[in-house]
Amino acid sequence: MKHPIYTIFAMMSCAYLSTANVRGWRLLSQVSPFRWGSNAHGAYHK
Amino acid sequence: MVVRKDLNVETIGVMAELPPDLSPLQIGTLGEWNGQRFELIGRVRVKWELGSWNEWYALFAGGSGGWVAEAQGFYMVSFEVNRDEIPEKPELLRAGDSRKFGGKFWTVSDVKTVRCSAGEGELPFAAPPGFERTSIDFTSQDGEFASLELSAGEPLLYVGAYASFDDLHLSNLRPVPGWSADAPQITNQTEALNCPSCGAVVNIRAMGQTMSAVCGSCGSVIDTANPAWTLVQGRDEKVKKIQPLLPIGARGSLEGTEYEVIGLMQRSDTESNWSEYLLFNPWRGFEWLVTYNGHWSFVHRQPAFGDLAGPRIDYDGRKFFRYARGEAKVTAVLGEFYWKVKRGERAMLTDYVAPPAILSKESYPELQEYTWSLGSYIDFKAVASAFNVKNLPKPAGIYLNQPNPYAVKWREVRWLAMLFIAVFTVVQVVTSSHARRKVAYNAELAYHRVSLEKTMVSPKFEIEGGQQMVEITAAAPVDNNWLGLDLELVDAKTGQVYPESLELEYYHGADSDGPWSEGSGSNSVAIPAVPPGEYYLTLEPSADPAVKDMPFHITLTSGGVFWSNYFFGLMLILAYPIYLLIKRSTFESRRWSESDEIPPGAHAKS
Repeated sequence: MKHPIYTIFAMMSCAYLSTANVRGWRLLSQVSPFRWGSNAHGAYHK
Repeated sequence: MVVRKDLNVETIGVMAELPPDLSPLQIGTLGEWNGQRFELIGRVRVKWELGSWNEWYALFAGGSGGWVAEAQGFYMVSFEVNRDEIPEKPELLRAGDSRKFGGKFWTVSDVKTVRCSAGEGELPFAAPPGFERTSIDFTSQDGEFASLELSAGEPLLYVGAYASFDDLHLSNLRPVPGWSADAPQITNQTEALNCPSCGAVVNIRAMGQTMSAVCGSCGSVIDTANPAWTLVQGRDEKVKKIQPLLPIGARGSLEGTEYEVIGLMQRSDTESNWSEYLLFNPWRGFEWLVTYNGHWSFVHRQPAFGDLAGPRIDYDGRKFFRYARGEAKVTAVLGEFYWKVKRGERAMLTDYVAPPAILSKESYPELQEYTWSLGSYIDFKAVASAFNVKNLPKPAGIYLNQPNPYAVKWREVRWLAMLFIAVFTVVQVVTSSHARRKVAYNAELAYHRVSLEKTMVSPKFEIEGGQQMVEITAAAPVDNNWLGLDLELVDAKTGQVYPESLELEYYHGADSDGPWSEGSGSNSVAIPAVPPGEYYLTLEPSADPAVKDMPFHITLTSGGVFWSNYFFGLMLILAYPIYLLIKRSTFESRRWSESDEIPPGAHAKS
């Protein structure tokens, strides 16, 4: 393999894309899969 | 010596003793040319004003004869052709004249008087020492050569081609002293004679092949073609200041062949100085190592080249672009050479490049000669390792035939990039087709300015499946006004809130430029990574002060994919290839900034 870093990076990109699409992730997101929204308060509960 | 007259032989006496040389050929050497076996049965040593060479008489299977000439490290195989082909009035031919014979156009490259100096074995004619003849050499456009021999008898015409050592499939070779393990042991591998100018000992390393040598003590250039050494050029005290990067006499292997450094020629043109090291191997002949600013090229002479010219030459499947033209002068010499070198010797150089290859033409207008050579860039570490020398200067700047490292990487990476783009696209298509969109909530609502309850809360609805994206779309009949929605998607079980906002605005009108409009009556927002479960939506609408009431439609859809992931990933995958393309282009720009010629990319445009 002549360009291992690029190859690994590109393979990881493909893996990430498939996971992101299945899990509904957005790469450039205000709400990333690793950051949840704020907790709701009682006022919003029905 | 024996003269062959078909199958009868006639002994005519003993010729002068052949001078010692390092030829690997001998009487009895076997070979093959164009599928025909041959054996060398005789040799003539031929001399002329500027040098000497061997002509071996070869007996081919079937009894026909041919010649294998051995000169300046080249081999040439030729055969006598029908005398009807001989051009008319050959004695009037001069260098540069053209004639047609044998169905081809030939140009006279050289006319000289040659003399037999010695011989051995069986020959097809009597060639006593001192036997003189006029030799007229021709070259054809496709690199073949012909030789017309004029003597007291009938003129003879020979036509042939250049051959490499490997082309001849030689066996039963002569062990070469100093080179072959099975050669007779001799105490002195080189011929040492005294400089006729200062008397210092001068060693000859390529005996029988070199025509001049430089005295390392006084710098005189000595004619070594004849046993009685004479001066070609007088003293040059600067010779002692020459410090070769590769010592004269050093041996090293390049491309699997062992060479000995036998000469150094320093040259210059109006802009630069460079050094050319002459290498010798008894079987392969002479090669060159050329160095400039720490860059090196391994250069092979190309005897079979025609008189090509122009801004581009296509050769060996490669496109060579002219890089430089100019006059070069020999500024210093050391060691020995296969021609009578002189300091101050001038030549017109034309370099064509197809990195890492370089094709060079040297023209000598005074001699009406030109030579071609084909070189290849070689890493300075490979040179240092081959000749076991330390501290070779590192390359500086970009050399004319230096391989573009980014071009090599680009050629390798582009296929990888195309492969990954294809895989990436397939992943996107497959995963997006599986991420089916489903409406989880859909409602017709309305904004009322006077309403006391500002916040609207939807009924609970189910988002099914796995973690996925959710898209909320709103539409309203805005018309030169706006409607804003602050909304929150709330997980009914965990209380997790996903706050978002949507603006709907649509304005239109007309001015001096005509009708205009901006905005839209619908808008959407996507929320990533929403887990499945029971949710509700809270909405707090606001609107333009002029709006009292406005209906709006809200839809919440689960599923689908973010195409921004795909395009962002594409950019990441393409970033490295694009970087290489830019660097490749920059490298080539720097390479060609040193040239007055048209860069390769500009040829197509011009």
